Amino acid sequence: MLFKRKPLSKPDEERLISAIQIAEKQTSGEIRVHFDTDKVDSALDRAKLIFTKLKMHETELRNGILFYVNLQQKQFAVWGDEGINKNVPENFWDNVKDTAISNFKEGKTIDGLEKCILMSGEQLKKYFPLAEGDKNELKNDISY
Amino acid sequence: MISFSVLSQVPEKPNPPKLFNDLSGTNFLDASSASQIEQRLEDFYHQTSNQICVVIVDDLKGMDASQFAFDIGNKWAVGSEKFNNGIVILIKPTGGQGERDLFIAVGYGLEGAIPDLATKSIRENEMMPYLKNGDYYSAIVAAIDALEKASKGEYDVKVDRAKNFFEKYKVLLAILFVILIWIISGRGNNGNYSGRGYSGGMFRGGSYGGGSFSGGRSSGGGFGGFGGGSFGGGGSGGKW
Repeated sequence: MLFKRKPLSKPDEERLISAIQIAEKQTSGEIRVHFDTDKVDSALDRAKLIFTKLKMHETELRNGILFYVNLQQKQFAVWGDEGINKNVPENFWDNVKDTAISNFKEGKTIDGLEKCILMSGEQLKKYFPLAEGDKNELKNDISY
Repeated sequence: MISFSVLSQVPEKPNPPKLFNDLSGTNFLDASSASQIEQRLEDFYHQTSNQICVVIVDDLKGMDASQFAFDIGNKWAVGSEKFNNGIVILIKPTGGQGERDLFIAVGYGLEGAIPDLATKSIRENEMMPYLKNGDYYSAIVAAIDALEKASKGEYDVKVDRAKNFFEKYKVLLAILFVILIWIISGRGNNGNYSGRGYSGGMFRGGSYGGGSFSGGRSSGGGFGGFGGGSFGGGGSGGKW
């Protein structure tokens, strides 16, 4: 294939971006979503690799969260850096994963991701409230 | 791991652990070169959390250099347990022509950034020219430089690059060729064709930065041993 087609329509992409913006509004934490199409063995390992590749571990408070979605392979993973991982309840990441997967199973990809993003935003706000003069360290972007 | 029994053939993990290990008893490198390399490897580890371990032996115990290198990687647990981000550079400098051997084994976690094609290119293009001259120090330094670049996605594999380029983009090139013919033949305009600029696309791959995941671990002296890397993050994944 010469050109990779984006797996998201423009309106869907905008919905996700606005969910990320809402989630990041009152926190210094950072959220990104990555869509992948490659064949993967472990979504979690892949998510970790992409986390590094996107330089998400370079936030000052180590509070980046990456959602990894592979629609072709039907795989999902969430990875949170050590700053946020220290604080969230023990089963938080599994809850996020279950929320995503139960929605994805019904074909509600964007709904599921939106919920996960907002859930994560709540946790980030709790532990990393926005301080005066904070700047957005990473682009609130979606990557492919 | 399927079987650990074969691992017993490779040497035991050095104690205290070191990243440069001359087990050949050949005075492969003088002491100051060896300690410079050890320092370089420790710096690389502190900067990226990736562990490169250099091992010099004079006997492969009848094994392939590749098997020997992977076994050392597994037995010594080079790299962090979670990331498997270890690399073993194995050199057997002794013996006659055809008996000297060299291999670079890459842990699972770095395979994406440093595929076999890259390690082959590093062996053949970066290390071999020096090894053939007996300049072991430069060979190892060149290998470390190249692996460091590769782990950041900045190493250009020097294998038939021109050929690869044509293979990869042959459809695109064919289309461009057709467009070119079309422009030259002047179809669709009456002679007065004003040139149109085609800006070149970017074909650079993403850069895989070796993550400094162990966060703030910068104690001086030594690198803390193998397999000790700790990854602070957490997550969850699954299929649907």
